[in-house]
Amino acid sequence: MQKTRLESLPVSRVRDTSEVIAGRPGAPSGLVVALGLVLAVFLVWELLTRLLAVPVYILPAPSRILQTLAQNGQVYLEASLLTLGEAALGLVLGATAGTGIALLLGLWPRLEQGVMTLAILIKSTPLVAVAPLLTIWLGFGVLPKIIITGLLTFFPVLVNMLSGLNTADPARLDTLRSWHASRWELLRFVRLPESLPYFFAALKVSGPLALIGAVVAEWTGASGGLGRLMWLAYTNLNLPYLFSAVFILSTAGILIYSGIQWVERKLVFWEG
Amino acid sequence: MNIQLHQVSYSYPGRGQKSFQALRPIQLSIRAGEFVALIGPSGCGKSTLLRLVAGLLQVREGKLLLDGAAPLHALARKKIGWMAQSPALMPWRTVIDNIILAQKINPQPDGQRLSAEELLEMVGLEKFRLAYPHTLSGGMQHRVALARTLALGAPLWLMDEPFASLDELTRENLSAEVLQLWARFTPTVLWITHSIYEAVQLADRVLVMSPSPGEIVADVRLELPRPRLENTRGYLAQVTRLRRYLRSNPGERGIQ
Amino acid sequence: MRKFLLFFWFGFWISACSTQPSLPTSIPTPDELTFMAGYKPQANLPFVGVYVAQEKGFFAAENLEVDIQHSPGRGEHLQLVTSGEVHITTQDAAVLLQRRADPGLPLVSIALIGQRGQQAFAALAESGLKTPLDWTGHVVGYKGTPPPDLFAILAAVQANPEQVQLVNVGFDPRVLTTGQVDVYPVYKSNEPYLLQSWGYEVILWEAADYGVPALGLTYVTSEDTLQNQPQLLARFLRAALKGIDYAREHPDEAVEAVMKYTGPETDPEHMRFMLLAELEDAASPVTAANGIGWQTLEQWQSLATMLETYDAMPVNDPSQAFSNEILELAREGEN
Repeated sequence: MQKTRLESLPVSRVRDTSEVIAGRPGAPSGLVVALGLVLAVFLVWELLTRLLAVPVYILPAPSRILQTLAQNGQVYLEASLLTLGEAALGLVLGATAGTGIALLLGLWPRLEQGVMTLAILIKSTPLVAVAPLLTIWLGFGVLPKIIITGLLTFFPVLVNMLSGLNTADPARLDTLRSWHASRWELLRFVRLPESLPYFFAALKVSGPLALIGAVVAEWTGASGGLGRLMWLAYTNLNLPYLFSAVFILSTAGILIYSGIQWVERKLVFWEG
Repeated sequence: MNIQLHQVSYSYPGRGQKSFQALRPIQLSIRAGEFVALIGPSGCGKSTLLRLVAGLLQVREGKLLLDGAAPLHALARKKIGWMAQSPALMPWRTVIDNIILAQKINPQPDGQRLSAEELLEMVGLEKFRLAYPHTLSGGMQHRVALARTLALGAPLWLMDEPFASLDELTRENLSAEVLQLWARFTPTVLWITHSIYEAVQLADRVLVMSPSPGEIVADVRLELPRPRLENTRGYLAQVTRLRRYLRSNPGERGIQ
Repeated sequence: MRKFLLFFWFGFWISACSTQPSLPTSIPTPDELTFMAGYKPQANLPFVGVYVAQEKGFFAAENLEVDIQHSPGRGEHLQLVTSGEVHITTQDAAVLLQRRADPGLPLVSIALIGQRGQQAFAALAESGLKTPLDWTGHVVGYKGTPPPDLFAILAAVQANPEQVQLVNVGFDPRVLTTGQVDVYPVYKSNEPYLLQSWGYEVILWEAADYGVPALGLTYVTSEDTLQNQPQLLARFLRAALKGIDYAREHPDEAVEAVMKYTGPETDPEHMRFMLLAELEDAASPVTAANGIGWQTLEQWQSLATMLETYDAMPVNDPSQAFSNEILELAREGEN
């Protein structure tokens, strides 16, 4: 459970880095710094591949990757929408399941040990081994991808939500108890809202994880999506296509993280 | 609401077989409408006593009656106003939503209740109706908590060092307001403090507790006219008297 | 508002990705059949036959509606054929024998398309290696487990396998160009193209050249499906073989058909290379005498014997591993 604490604690630390990215008024904008860094990395990468004449099947130059991306916009757009859709639905599934189980355990703490053992069991199963089985059971459609993504994303949500529900301020709980509030009312009016920052800390872990889940699932058999595209590109050793997908995934990962952060600031306005 | 304690003691269940005794048997009777201060060193069991009265801890040894009934009965009939040291507001609710939360959880009034507007006005926060707690000063947050304590119109106020975390000036102002509200609504008040001056400033009666496991070592009735002025002879005499009780209290080994 | 947008987006996504254009159903209702290619979409001849049959309407002419799927290539297709969810798949003949023996999958080859083995061993021409005898003292890569034909070839040239250093390299012909291995196992119709396109000359050693029996890809079904739906299989096979014939006559059109199933990451020239190489290997004295897809007990028996010798694997009666019955049925139905 040591790791649990680590995952749930950085609520405040994460906020610090977000301020760096978003920038404080007066300070140089974090976005500019980030873009500058990315640009610098690209530049060095481009120069090295050119100077050392690295073959394209070993490592393509970023210009070549961006060119591939531009020339196949439609293909990548369709694949991205499918993969992002699977990731989003899987994340919704995982977050809902994680929150739901955490709420059940919050209401009936006696279940905790048994349910958590099961959850850790699921969490410890290598998804690479399970993914092909799900494909065999559920076919090549989007369903197994969504389920795999859900399996991958539910655990951080469960663990964080459980910490959040269990760390509710005792003084607030006492106040509500003095009004003869029920267990459900304690949950609804104190424990649940108090765990909201924990929920967002979990989403920041699970959001980017959802992309990985969807891609891994597609890699093991799919009729579309970025994972399939990457697999096909890999089996053809067509690295510009492979890296194009990687670029999209990294960008999507950053956008998802920032999006979650934005929503968090709106909803958890009282922290900070 | 009157309070009767017959040989009430309390032990916290410990790990394994060892339990921790917090209170020795306490015999006590408080009349309806009395303002009682409870004073004693840290960890002496003051809060335990208050929580027993509030029904937040279950009485297992002795008998505790509120208007002749068990505390849980009073709790169920929303007859208790509770205020702790931390304002314990819900930061995700506006001032007004915090104040009426108790009424929301207990929609059926049992006796007379003030409206949200009246409660706001009472603590002078009309302008901050829709503000969120984190935008308010510490003193204002405690005002919100005070208004919330009164929201159910309870005849018993249980206050556990309610303003201890505030600066002195703010604390005095708020205490004075509580006195006015007490005069207006005439509830029974059980007020924990570790400040002798605060006890003498506010209470009709001061209970002095021994160090842990706590028991009541002195029961002092303050026959001082209100408003009480700090530098009068009677005032200072009471302060000195209480200080003596606190210093020379027999402690753990004194009275067995 | 936010909720609404979310719904809108999901709605869009679902409609964009999940619906297949449904054609007005004609009468009589076509019989449905699921074919799963044993690997990703590419120009393996058994795949091409199906792609062309689909595109040119050969299946439709048989009143078949064929659902074409692709396996990630880790055996899923064999499991699905066994469980009956897929009617027909493709599999290398040697692997078919191995899976029949262990874990005992009831697989049956109904047509042998690749009359020679798919694999060969490659070295860079500049390496100076001439015969498998030269492999001694060098690093030889393999994919997953060392293939039995590797040992068969070494035995044929009387080389000592102890003196060959074997390493597992997976699929990655780049290790040959970077010098991490000296000899690398390839699919004859695949990696040589990549290596040549990168500017490397390669030398290939093929099992058949050393008298080692090897067979290629087959159309595979399960014993159950074979017994219960022979007519359905025959109609499929007739159309697929017609597709192969068509591909032989019109390789450009066939490559176009393949490209409909691959993505833009695939090089059409690569697919053309693969198709032509596999067309060549689809012909043998057996097919010259009996037509494409024919298979004999002698072929399967010698493959089984080789596997028993060099893979230390007992092969059950190889006569059960194949059947020409469907092929004969298919030919009877030809007009």
